[in-house]
Amino acid sequence: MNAAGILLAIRLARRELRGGLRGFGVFLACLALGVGAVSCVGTLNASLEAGLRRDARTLLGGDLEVRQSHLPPRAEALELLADLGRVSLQARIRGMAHAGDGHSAVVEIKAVDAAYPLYGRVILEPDLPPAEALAERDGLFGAVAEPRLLERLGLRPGQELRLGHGRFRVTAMLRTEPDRGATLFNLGPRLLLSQAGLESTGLLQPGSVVSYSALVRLHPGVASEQARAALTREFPDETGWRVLDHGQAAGGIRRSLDNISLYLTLVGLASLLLGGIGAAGAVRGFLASRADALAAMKAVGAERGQILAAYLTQILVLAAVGSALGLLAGVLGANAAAALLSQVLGVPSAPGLYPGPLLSGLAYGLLTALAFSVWPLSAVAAVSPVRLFRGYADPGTPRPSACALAVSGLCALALLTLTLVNAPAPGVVLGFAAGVVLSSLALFLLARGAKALAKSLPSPRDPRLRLALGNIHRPGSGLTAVVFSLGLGLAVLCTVVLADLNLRDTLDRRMPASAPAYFFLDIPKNALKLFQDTVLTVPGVTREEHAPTIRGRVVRVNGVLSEKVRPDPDAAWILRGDRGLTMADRPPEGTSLAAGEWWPEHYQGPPLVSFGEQEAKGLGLQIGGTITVNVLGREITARVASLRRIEWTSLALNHAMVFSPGVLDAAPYSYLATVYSTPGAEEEVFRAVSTAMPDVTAVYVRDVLDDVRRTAGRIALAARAATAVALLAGLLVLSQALRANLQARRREAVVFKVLGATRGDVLLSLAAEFCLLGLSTALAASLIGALASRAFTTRLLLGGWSLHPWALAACALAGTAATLALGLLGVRRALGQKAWPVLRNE
Amino acid sequence: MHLTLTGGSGPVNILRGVNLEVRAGETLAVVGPSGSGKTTLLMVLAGLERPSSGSVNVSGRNLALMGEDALARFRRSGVGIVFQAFHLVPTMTAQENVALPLEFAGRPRAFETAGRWLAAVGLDSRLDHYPAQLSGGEQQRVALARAFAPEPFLLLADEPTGNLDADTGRIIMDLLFSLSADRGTTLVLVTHDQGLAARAGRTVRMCDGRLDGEAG
Repeated sequence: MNAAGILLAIRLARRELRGGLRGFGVFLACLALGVGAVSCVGTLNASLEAGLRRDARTLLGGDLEVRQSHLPPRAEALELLADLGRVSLQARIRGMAHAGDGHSAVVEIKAVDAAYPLYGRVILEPDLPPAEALAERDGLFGAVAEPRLLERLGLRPGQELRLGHGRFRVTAMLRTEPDRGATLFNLGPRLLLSQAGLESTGLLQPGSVVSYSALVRLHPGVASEQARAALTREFPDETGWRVLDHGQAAGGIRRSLDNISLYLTLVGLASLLLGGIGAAGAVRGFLASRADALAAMKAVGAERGQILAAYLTQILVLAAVGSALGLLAGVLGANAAAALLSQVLGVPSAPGLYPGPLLSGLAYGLLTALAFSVWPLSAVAAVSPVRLFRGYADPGTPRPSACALAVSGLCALALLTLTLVNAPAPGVVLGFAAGVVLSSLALFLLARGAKALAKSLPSPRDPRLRLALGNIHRPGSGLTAVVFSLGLGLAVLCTVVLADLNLRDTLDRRMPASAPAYFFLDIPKNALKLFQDTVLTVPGVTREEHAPTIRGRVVRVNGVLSEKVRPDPDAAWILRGDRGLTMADRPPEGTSLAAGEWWPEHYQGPPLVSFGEQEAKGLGLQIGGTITVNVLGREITARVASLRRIEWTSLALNHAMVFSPGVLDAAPYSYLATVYSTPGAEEEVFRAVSTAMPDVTAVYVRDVLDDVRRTAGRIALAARAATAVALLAGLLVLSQALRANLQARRREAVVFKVLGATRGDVLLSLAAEFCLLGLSTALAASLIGALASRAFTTRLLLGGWSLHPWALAACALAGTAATLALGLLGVRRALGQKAWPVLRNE
Repeated sequence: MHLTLTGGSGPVNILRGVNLEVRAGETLAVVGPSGSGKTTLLMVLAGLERPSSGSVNVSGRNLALMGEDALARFRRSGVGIVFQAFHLVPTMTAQENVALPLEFAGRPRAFETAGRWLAAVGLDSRLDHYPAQLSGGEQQRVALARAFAPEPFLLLADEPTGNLDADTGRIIMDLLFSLSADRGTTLVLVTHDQGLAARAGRTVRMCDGRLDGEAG
């Protein structure tokens, strides 16, 4: 098309738009909702990412961190780091804090030196410098506690608490800990101590699960890559530590956010899809109303391409308006959500305008409008001017051109590519796309089947029902449009509702039933007997399990350095940081072997390991493969002898890696134990252990589960808010689909009334038709939703799934009710309308 | 020339061996009962329907061999159509409606020409009015101006006064005949009105898809 053609298209579009946006409400709303949803998710991701990047050094606590379990990094390494910048040492361990009146609580202890913090600011109440707050005074070390710890222990600043053998005075409340970052749940509140303070507790025993960090704030001009390279050069064989730079800060938050973002992206895409369908319906409706004008233009010499260009320009202008509205809503929503996430979960965020997601959102809007509009537009542009002549109807339905179909297909492909580029998990997006295609196919078949069925059913005697049934299969029936719009919208709703219910099932039903009452950490090697004697004499204790445990880091898988291994996402945690290792002579109770064999009793041969089946699969490990772990600086290579099925959600004592006897015997391990008890006995168990062994950390499982449930509840709330957007898009699309046939329905209602039907007759006939439409679609959508939620829950959330028929039935009924309500709302005017104005215009 | 269309109840022979020659500058009225094929004949002449057999030559071009867009170009350069129901574009002013075929044809000064044509039909004070703001007669005058603006060699009119009262219809027909005569435009007029037909240079009668012969 030449410049004159483009100018003509713009001129014609401008003339069409001069009358305002009347009739385009649904088009604009649908696009705005879809674009709003995707740009909201994009902007939210960008602002969280920017927040993490901005605060990366603060969150890590330095430019570089050398992290190691059980022992501090060796002195030569610390000297090297001191040459490169300012070094701060930290130790982290869990412990039990006791108040004088018998209250106790698990705490996450962090012992810091005078250099802490290297970045950011610790805010205390009262406002003291950390070093002063933690210093020793009058024979007591200072301690700084999170307010919720003081709440649990019933303490106020100025009072004392006990930790191991040490006594501390709580000097201040910890308001802000710059390097705490966001964690979705913790075993306990933070307690900040000095290094000397921690040593005074006696908790640092051989085998204690303590994690040391050397953090460094590099001198100006020294890059973290240089520091990392220097460490590798000077200590080429050191695999016991893990070196992190600020780019890797807050990995846990990133992973959690990635999962949330993936879910929101899927809901956003569903909204966009529904918006696109609604927009297509609106375009079809608009063009149908303009068919005479289009035919007139063709009669006076307009080519199909000229018509197409003029109306496409108009639709693109409208799409830009709708997208702009969506972008505005998306940015506002994202900034509100980012602020909420910062407040509720402590996730850093940098609210603002991010061009990337905005441009993506605009591209999504325009591509969606194009993909869904070119097709109906091309069909209508093929309208023949013969319709303008008296007594002459269009010969058959106009068909879109092959070129228009190709453009629609290319736009859909571009949308998919754009999504794959932006999405955190392309595989899931492809799965979503496949799901959409399959669902559309199923709904199409359903529409065809329902029409055929309605046609083949014997005619009901009641004329009103006969009419309703006839409206389902006659030419121009709204069935296909309703099946697609309501079907896809309702399928999304069913998917989300079922996924949500199943997630709750996993948290509520399965865990507490089989979960132990307590986990006990850091039971010294030589105190296991005392521990067993203590807990097993408590009335109500039904079972005790224990396993030796020591922290170690996987450094090689099948001889390949773990940094170079590309694990499946759900097995990546094995290679992240230090993991708990254990050893066993016989298979632990309840072991279920999936492959290989357990070693013989009293085995004394070369090191063997039994691996979790899923984890081994994720790492590409098979029977006979090797794994190398670094424990306290010593590398141990073991051959995989067996694979076990592990039910992590049972909260039983499980280790991904169980070594053969002898491998870790000499290491200073401690014991990890679980205690099962009847309800009501928990308090006595805790009292007995904390009295006999004050250094042992007790984790009350119910507290942890409550914490998890609270966090999951918050996330579910956000998910439901996102789902509401998809649902709203679905309802808009449904109203649009029903509106398409409204004119015909109104005319029919008037004709029926002229022929003697009462308003009740008309109402009943229409209600029966809308109910049939809604119900058949709702049944199909429920089935699709059930299948999709099953895939989502079992594949992505790795949880169990059950059907929840009542919830599904409620969704199906709600969908039917929405169809009925929206349908009847649309024709309400026709019921009271005078006949003559309608008939005179015929 | 034959035309058979297939509808829901099977093929229907609409035109059954029509043989018609219209000379340049001639005014021809086509009369006949409803359903006799008058309007279909007009559509075939406009290139909006293709004959099932036979050929249609207009100004030396065989319409049966032309594609959809070529026919659109043919219409905008040489054929004007006036409909019974006017068929103006409701979202465009009178002047924009008249300029439309000129714009599609890429003619320069389309609006100026449209204004001149509206003045020629007596609507120079209504340039910026929308169709809804005009009476039926005024709308048909705009349609006439739109049909004549590209200066076609052939003007096809399908019951142009069918939606108008007698007085207004007469004014429109006066205008139609005088404009055709002034510009030497060939006029083919489909009508039920014998009085109107009598004003044409020649009248043919259609009956059951065939030309019955010269009438009047």
